[in-house]
Amino acid sequence: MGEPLLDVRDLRVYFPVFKGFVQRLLGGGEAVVHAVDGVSFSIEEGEVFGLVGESGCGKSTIAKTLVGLVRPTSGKILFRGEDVTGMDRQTLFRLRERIQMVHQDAHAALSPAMTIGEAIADVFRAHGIISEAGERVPVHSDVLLRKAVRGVLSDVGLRPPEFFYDKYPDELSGGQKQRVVAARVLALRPRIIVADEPVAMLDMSIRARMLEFLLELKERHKLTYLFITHDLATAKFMCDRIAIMYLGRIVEMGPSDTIYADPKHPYTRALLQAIPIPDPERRRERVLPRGEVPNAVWPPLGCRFHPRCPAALATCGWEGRDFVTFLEERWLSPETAQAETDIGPVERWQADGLVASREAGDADPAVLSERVRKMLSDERGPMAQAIESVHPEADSVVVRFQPPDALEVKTVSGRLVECLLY
Amino acid sequence: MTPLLHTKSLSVAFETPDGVVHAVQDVNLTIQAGTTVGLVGESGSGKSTLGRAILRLLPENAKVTGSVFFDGKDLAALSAKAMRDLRGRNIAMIFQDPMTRLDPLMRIRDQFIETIRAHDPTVEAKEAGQRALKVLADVRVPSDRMGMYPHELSGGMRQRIMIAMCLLFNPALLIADEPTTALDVILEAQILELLQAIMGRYNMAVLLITHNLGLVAEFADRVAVMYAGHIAEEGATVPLFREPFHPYTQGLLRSVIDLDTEALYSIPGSPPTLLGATVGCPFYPRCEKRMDVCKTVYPEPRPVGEDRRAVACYLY
Repeated sequence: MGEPLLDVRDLRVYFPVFKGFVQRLLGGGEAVVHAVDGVSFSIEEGEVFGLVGESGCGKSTIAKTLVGLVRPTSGKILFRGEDVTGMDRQTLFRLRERIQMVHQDAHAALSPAMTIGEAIADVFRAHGIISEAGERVPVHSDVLLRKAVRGVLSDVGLRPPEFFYDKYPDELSGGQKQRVVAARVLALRPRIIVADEPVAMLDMSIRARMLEFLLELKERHKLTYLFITHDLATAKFMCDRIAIMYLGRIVEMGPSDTIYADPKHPYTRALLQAIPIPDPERRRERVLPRGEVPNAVWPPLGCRFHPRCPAALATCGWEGRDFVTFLEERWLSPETAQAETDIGPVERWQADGLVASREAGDADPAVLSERVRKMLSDERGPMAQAIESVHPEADSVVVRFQPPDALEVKTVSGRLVECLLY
Repeated sequence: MTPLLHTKSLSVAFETPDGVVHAVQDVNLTIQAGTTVGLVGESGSGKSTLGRAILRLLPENAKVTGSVFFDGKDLAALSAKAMRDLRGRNIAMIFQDPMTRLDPLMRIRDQFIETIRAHDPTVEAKEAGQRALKVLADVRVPSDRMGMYPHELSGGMRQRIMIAMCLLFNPALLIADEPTTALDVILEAQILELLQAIMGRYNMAVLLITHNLGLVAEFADRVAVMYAGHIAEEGATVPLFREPFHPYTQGLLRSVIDLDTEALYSIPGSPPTLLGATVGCPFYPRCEKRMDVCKTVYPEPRPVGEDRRAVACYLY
């Protein structure tokens, strides 16, 4: 295998969180959103590589970083072996011709006051007319310009091009607008197209047409795709290889066939199980992950999926706040909450790293510790197993967790997985 | 048995500067108590307008004809005040984005109290709080969320709270308009499982309005497929998915991309605009089985097949 077309190494993108005046006075360090937190992957020439995950997993941030719209906090992006992360504006401008992006909302990507023809002509005015061989001809005549615009319009199937040239975006259907966006992108003769949820806004009955169009373009222009989607079914159809992302990390990556045939990471399994099947005769019971994706400002310790994972182990990263969540869920039953009022309410528990604690107040910390131990005695889950000790400390009860085992990316049956089960 | 809800030739037309938009045309829809009816269609098919027409929640420029019977009563005959009381108490509605329905400046507890008192001003704040706690436990929202503002809650929690508010008066019908479209797939499955559990406990019927055929297959007892303001096909879920009759239903089911998809399919053409009067079948230009008659006269729905499904198509 030669050099990959695109190589992303340990990419991190953190965004600062705006803190109010009072919060800044109170201090507490800089808060950052860990949007992308140590992601590595590479894409071979001619491949369709899928980044798949739910909202907030960092997939779109990676896309924006690749086309230079967002600066990485650390890590490297290599295009044909050349580091593009530290490039100056001029070089970046040329690089952007090679890596282009198609957004989800074609309507928002087009100016309502500009005809389709003008929107494409603008691209040529800025970059020149680039030939198939990569030669650049500056725009020196209107005739030449119109000819180039007509060329790309008909390339994306908007035929006859004269018919579309003077139309405004409002006069086109959703699918046609996506084609105009594609035309603007193709005008630059890119090598890689980053397609960020290109069909998410289209109705089901016309979605397939757009996907077929993208595959057709790929063949005709020998393109490479980074296909970003939340939809595992579409990714299965489109992608040669996929990476499943969760909260800023890749949890599983490999050939699509391998992963769909036998998903290894519990998160991949959960995603696949959650997809509704359009066949009422195949309704089934499923085990869904609990809760929701946590805040990326404070990602969970250890494996980020552990608080929701149906297959979690005691060593996966259980910590103080997981104990607080456990109490919340336990006390959803009013009877239990009533019987355990001396341990509650939840608001009195505080989590700090591996520790959860509650001031005993009027109660005896030793007695309260005993109560907590008794409550936990019939708990068999991995969280309870991860608790190292429950003991009184000064005038508080302290629940302390064991530190997690180190996570490593491992090769498991032909794909990479980051999970302690393997 | 009197159906819980029944619409009779319900039509909605909007007056717009460009002309009249016929969003819903001649819809007859029946919902039995305790059942789930899935109303599926693509954007602009009129499914949301139909949901709102039932509750008389349409803007002023909407002209509604036909009738809606709920529990045997004609809703058009109700006064504005009686209708307001019926909403929430007998028929509740949830929407795609709960953030637009919750007051951003009010704690969850106060929103519950306000909702309860709007229907029953005699209820004390303390008792209202107790009732809120009970429904919140039913949708598995921890009690400490009561003291929070909507922006402090996750998307899933907000939608659970919306559902809890609907449960306050134990309505007989819940209209859920794309309730999970803004949510990720795992959360969507969680919310639908919750809805299913609650339907049983509260003996509630659900009208699930969605573009997602998968959700309908997993969730609904009956399905109504809408296209360009008309119901193209309506029947029990299992036979309808096993053998769709209407060419639009057939095309729509073929165009779903799921994990078993091997070849892509899309229906040729695109949906019509609903501007101006239409004659004939609106699916005519895109239909692979079209005949001359389809062009001029709309096919009245008639019972087809062993399950006597209502199909609006001349093929049957």
